[in-house]
Amino acid sequence: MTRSLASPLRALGSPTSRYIARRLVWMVFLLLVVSLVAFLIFYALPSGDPAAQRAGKGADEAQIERVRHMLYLDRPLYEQYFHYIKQVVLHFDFGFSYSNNADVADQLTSRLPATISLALGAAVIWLVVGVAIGILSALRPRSLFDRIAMGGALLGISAPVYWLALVVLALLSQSYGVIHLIPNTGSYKPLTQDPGAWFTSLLVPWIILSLSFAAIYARLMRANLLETLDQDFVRTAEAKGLSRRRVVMRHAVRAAITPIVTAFGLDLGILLGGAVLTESVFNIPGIGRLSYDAIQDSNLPVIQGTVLFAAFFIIIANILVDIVYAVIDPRVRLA
Amino acid sequence: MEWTVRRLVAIGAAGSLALGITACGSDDSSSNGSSGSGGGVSIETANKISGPAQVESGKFYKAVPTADQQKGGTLKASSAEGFQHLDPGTAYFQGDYIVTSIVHRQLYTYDPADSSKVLPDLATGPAEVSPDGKTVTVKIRDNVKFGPPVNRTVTSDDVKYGIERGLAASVANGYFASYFGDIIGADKAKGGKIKGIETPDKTTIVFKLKAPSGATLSKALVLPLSSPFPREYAEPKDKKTPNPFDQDPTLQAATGPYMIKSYSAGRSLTLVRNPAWNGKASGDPRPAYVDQIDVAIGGDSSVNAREIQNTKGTISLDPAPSDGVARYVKQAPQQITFSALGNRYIALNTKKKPFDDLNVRKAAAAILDRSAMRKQRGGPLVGEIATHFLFPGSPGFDEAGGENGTGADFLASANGNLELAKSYLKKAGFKDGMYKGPKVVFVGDTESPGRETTQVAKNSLAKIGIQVEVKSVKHITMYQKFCQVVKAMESVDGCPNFGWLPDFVDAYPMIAPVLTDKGIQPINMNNPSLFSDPKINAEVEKGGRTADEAQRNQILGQADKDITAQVPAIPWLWDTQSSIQGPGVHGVIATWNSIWDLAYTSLTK
Repeated sequence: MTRSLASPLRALGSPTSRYIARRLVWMVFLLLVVSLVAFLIFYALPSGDPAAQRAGKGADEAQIERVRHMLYLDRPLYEQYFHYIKQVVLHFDFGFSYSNNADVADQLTSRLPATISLALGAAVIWLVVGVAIGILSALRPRSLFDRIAMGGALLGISAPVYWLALVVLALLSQSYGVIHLIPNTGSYKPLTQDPGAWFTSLLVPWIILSLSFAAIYARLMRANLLETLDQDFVRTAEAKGLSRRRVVMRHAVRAAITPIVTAFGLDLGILLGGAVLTESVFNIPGIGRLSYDAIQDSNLPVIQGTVLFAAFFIIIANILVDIVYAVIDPRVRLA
Repeated sequence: MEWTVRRLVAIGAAGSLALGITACGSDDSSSNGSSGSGGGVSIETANKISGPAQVESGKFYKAVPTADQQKGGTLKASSAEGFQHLDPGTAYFQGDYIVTSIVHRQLYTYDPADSSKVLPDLATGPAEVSPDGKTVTVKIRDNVKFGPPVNRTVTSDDVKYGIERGLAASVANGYFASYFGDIIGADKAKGGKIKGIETPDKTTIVFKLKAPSGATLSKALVLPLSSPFPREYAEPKDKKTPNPFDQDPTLQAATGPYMIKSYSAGRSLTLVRNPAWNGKASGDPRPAYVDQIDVAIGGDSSVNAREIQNTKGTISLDPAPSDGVARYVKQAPQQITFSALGNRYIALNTKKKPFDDLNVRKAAAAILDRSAMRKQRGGPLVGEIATHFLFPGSPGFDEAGGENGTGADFLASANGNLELAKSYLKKAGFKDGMYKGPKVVFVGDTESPGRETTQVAKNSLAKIGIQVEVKSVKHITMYQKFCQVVKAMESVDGCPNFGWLPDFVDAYPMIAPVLTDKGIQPINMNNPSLFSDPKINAEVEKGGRTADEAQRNQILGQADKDITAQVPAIPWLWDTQSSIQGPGVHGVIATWNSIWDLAYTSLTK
């Protein structure tokens, strides 16, 4: 098995290509494991009976059995699982929702743009703001700016997204805020349909979602950079006569940012699997709310679909992180 | 909140009226203390400021039709909960009925202001039930048309097919067995023709039954399953899984005032006028004021409620959340209304010790602090403290004793009566009036407010020595893995978070499926008390087979009294549902569905 897999990988040429190919093969394996675990959890833990749920409370046993057959639930577990995987792999068919018969693949793909819009926009904000504040704080430790920034970061970490969103709405909502500034929830429009409405509907959710991440990143960046600035290679670079700016930006930050890249990859991957609270409060039709509702309803096809999507993004984000590592840190080589 | 089954979900949804509105109540403050020995606050006192009573007094919005309502405009609605099944053959949820009832014409409908009045919709007059109760005949109108893409006149065969397809696996109607199951041939049908539904001509449909249950069947014809479906158009599609009409309801051929223009599950729904609908000319009593209805699905119900409060021309299709109720009551009482919904009770397993003993059950009922339980749900505005199973507004309610109750002493006190409870335990053989025996197991909810009400029940029973071990699971798991499974009930003594609301306005569907042998089957049962008293079973069936309304209500009201006396469950709340709207809307409540009727709702200037 190893040999048969290794041979085609060797034919890919550069070590980086081979590395990526190997990770992609692992990704498929991991997705299978994730889907199997989600499947088993659904059956192992007490939950609802999907056939009874779908049939309704007044349904007799005959009706429930008809529904069980329709939902493929009267087959052995392994058969159900392989049927599901076969449909996903061969037809990109994730089944249909037990609660409303909606096609799961359609649900996921139609909601993905909203989730990507929300996650990427917030990611840009928290990365820029968090890293910048972290660097500035590290360069002026114990200064007034540092104290204010780190105090603010603590607040940002402590404030739950849900609470913060409600407070902002109470202050700024068009319909009931103190100042009627931001559009009502549910005003999200896809970028391709109305770029202006897309931006205005997402601006506040981006800021709110990014706040706690930015706070964590600022503290992380500050701590890493402070540690790096104490390293010998920084002193060597300064002794060689390089400017402070060049030493910090070219050498120290580059070395200090690797943990940020790791965290960023994971955080972004997780958010692409759905930002449940932000999507719920601002009524952004993304994957997060879909997965939350599915868990509440013990709706296996939707749970499976959202779990697979989330796992896919997390794995891809990890691969990208490893590649970026190699680019920014000369000590790391992909092999 | 809250899954595929209309009854379950609506009860669950009403559960969202949880903590936070006790400020509006006042009697709860007086019923807060321990039960003591004196018997506490009477039910009559505790119920004085219920929501529906205050609607009647004019304090809150009275959502009834008026003569000055105006036509036109687009109504903006929101629903955090969304819809489940918009196919009328599958729909079994309060929210879904809002849509199916205006897209399709059922055989019968209700007067929105008075749910005791059944109005012929597709039918031309009342259903004729034969003297032996085994034949029901309905005449339908000859000038009702399907909208696009079918565009032809509705015939009796379309009604026949609409009912038959309820047994197709892809449609799987949830209440067919309960009310249509006695139709001859229904037990063998799987979506194909049912022998016992005959259509001698294009405007007549006849139901032949194997049991004399015609009176109940005729009442069930208000359900969306009686909506016509064009056989030649729908039959090929109904063979597919999942059902195309449910997955994409824009495919449905509408007969009602509106048709579904677009639907994206969990995101949005748009309804526009059905060009084939000709209103009063074809006997449809509904005015259908607004031109279009845009429903935004999703979001947070609290945020939605806040936005609606100040946004002109909007309405909420969800029950108001607890914080929303408190705010509307205080700031916008003329934008909130309350309507009766159903009941809540603690089911006691009558087939297992210690609750197989009637006196132990009476002791449990006597000690239960129902006022505290209600307080955990939100206080008086969420409903009245129940004294029997039929709720205010339900047929048979007055006959069962009405607000004053059935006379059962163990349900007379709102917050428990220790001395009375002890006296019943003494009768059960516990000499000092304190229970001595193994712990009892209740299966409760992990979710609020069920979690808290279970705790109140546990604390109440502890006062007479009954120690309760609470097994907390998800709401849906509580039903489907425990309280609805006979085998699982072998290790369960009580289900404290059970509730029921009727499928149609009648006492029979409030009692038969949950408190007689009809509700007991190995899985998916609705009688977690496993209560089956042959005399009462016969009494309820007799009531269900009685066509005369007054006689029917008398029998079923008496059955309610008799059941209450046997305490298979402790009724503790008659649920109320609150509905909210924004300024510029004249909302009308469909009292049969306890939520807005969009065919009667209009915009105001």
